[in-house]
Amino acid sequence: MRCEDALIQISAAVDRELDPARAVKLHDHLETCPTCRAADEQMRVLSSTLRTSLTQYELPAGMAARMRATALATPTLVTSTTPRWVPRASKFAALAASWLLAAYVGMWVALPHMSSDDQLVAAHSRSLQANHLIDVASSDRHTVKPWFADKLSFSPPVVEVDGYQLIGGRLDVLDGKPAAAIVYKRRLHTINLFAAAATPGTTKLSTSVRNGLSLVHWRADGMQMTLVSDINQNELVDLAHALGAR
Amino acid sequence: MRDLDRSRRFDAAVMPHLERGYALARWLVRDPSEAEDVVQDACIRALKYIDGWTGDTNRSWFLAIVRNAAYDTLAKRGVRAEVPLDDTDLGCVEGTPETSLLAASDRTLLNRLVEELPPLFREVIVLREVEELSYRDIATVLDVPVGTVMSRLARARGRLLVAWQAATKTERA
Ligand SMILES: [Zn+2]
Repeated sequence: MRCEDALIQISAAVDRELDPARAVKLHDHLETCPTCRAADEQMRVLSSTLRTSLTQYELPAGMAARMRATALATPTLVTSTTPRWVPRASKFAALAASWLLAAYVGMWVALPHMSSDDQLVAAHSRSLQANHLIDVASSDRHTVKPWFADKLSFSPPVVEVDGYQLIGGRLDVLDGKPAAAIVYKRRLHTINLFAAAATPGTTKLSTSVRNGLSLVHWRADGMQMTLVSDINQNELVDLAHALGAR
Repeated sequence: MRDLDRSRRFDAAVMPHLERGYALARWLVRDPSEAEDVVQDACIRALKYIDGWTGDTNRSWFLAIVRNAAYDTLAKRGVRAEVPLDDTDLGCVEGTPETSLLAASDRTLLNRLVEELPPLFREVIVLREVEELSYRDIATVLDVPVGTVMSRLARARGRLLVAWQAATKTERA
């Protein structure tokens, strides 16, 4: 037996994962090779020391509820990836129901430490990470707008704007409540426009920056609107103006 | 109702393993808030897979999803999942670390040394020594043959031993 092969088997023997035949051969080698005997001792010390030394990370408080609420509130894509055995007609009903559930979960899930900006930034980042940037892919507002109409109690603005490519819409969740996300692209950047039901009234636009992302907020037509993106703030403000913000 | 079924399946398949998933994500991306994002991403992916999944939705199943999500995050940082080519990891080392001398400082040191391993080595150490998974389960999480788990773990340990002894020597010198 070569010492190099012995080392792999020593490591496996420490874990009691070596089959009996090879264990016998390893045993014979260790009898005759002091170097591998030392290695055997070291691997055992290392393994048992790691077991008592490596950090056991625990879930941060409230994380389980947050993970669950967001995951269950994330609609499954309305595309051909939906399992075939789901009757077509029930899909929208299922989506709508998932929003009822989201609202219900939102009542007990605790998000007090997350400021609204943090939530918006998190929602923006989530949309980029998983494959759920858009639920309805279309550059045509006449497709996107009615898609939302079936699912929300308010009517988010879906507007085509020069220089900003409308790519589609998505249902999201903010403060445990359903929100519309309208997605634009500008060059390589993704822009999320979040719209959620709010108290009536109009506010002028305001800007903020979080984690290197720009946000532009305003309220109009009973909706709280926020643009989130990594493009520069002026471009985002231009888009806000084009969407009717003052 | 389909959504109640969905949440029930999620509670059964994902919730029991959430903490283990978070621990693996912490070890892989090494940042608490990014680890949380990785687990969130994994939860969403898990929900998508649950419907079409016919096998067991056990801990290895969820850890495999977390691992994929973590590597996507690492890829965005430009970290590539590669096993180093050199075989020096299996070189013999001299001397034996003295168990009696292992103190709090060694605990900090060992955590740092594991964190400094390339991700593909770090994960086998964590899955074995923290999660205490069998080689077969580790192979499931990594989607590689059991033999690969065996050799990767040996090389990871070889590296750790060399680094541990080097660090201990410097400290005592
Ligand atoms: Zn030998």
